[in-house]
Amino acid sequence: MVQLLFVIFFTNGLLSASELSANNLMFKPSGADGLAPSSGAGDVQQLEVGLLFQKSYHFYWENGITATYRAPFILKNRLGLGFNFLSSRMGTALGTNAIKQEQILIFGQFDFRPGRNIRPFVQANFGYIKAQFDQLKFSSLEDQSLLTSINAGVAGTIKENWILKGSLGYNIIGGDGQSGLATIYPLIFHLSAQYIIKL
Amino acid sequence: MKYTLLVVVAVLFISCGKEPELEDKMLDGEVIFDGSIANPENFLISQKIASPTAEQLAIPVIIACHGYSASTFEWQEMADWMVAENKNIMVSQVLLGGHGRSYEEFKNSTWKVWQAAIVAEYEALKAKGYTDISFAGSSTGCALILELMANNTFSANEINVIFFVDPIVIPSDKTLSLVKVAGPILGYVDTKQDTIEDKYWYHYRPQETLQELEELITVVRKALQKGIEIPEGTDVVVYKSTSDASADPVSAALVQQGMTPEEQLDIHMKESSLHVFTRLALRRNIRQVDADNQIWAFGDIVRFIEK
Repeated sequence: MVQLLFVIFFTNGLLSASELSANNLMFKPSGADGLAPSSGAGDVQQLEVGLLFQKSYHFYWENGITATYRAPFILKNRLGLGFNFLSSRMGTALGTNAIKQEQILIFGQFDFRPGRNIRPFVQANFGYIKAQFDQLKFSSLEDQSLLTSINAGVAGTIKENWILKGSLGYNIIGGDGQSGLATIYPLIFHLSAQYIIKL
Repeated sequence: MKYTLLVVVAVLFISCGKEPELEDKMLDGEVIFDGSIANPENFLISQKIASPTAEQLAIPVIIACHGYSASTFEWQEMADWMVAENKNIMVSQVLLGGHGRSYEEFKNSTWKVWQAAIVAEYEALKAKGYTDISFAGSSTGCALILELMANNTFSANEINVIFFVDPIVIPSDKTLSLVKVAGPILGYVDTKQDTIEDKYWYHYRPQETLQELEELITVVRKALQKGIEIPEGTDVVVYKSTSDASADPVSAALVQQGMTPEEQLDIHMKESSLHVFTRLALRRNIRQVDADNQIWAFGDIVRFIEK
């Protein structure tokens, strides 16, 4: 239910950003290059922190937190460096018998159309995942793995200090019943809401 | 750009709905069918004994349910072993609905049709008055039985033991989760299995049936997440290969986490790389450990039935 509300909120937010951008109501150029700092471009360092919801297609919700750092000296704020922490305990495993697993990833996110309120992006992620199987009985099962994934999506800036992002991703490493962690599914969807903190 | 788009559309158009080339020597064809279709009395206990005596009604019956794209052959070795070892246990080999017939019939079947044959045999045995009924499922057969359990199909003390051999809740090949998207483009999957297996397993798997399989295991996974209660008086025993290219071994962990009470559940992880390790017939390169695992499992099944 929480996830559904977030999807509705996110879609509404993106539509608002698109409409306001078209009407030029929130896009107020500033700085030498005429780009708005709220949209990640310009001469300020900033930290974007917030909530991340991940849905593996036909598998678990794993939710958590995300943070992205941008600076003028890193490709003029076009390249964000960040990390995600996700857990099924805050998703499908909340109150159910689903497998409890946590993952932590670092990523690099490259924005197209910098300075715009609607920005496509691509992202490469590297990390680690650990699952918990409760019984000694399952000691033969792999319970951890490295993670490598890529995703592509769209980010939208709302009300100057908020960013909503949606993306589609693909896990490159996974299990196949003979080796690897079983609970990594290939296709993943991300939704996030992040607040911009100017440093 | 315009020409690239035309090529993509052409490829999609040509790919969609393509059909495999079937041969008479395949189960997929129009010549070979599962033996239980012509002679059900040789496979189904409900049809084998027209009017069972009181003594016969007390003999334990195991309703054996094969897996996706398989046939009654998958449980033939256990049935033969019970006879050869003079075990006073009858095996009723169910042919899942839509299976054992032509490719077209398989393609048009749903997982509920597959399951209906299990329920039909169970109801038939109950109607005749058999008092000691157990189930044995392999792979998707386990998922079909789990779905029945999730729907509280079985009451207390109705079923003796439910055996799951290599149950599938999570597939080893995770691209199965993408079948709804990629399936219509592929049309079918070529198993590339040994030709000697073509008589008893479909060589080609229609994408429609893969979608049904994916739907079934998603339903079962969610039911286990919610929790499935084992009926009072029933034991559940799981035998799972530690390495399995079809049903991910983590499926056993999901069953263990999702079923209660714990005292009525037994899980055995077996050192094996075979899917449905209880079936060795027609396999190449059988190791001693594979033969040992099979006999051990059959013996364990008897031990549970006779407890």
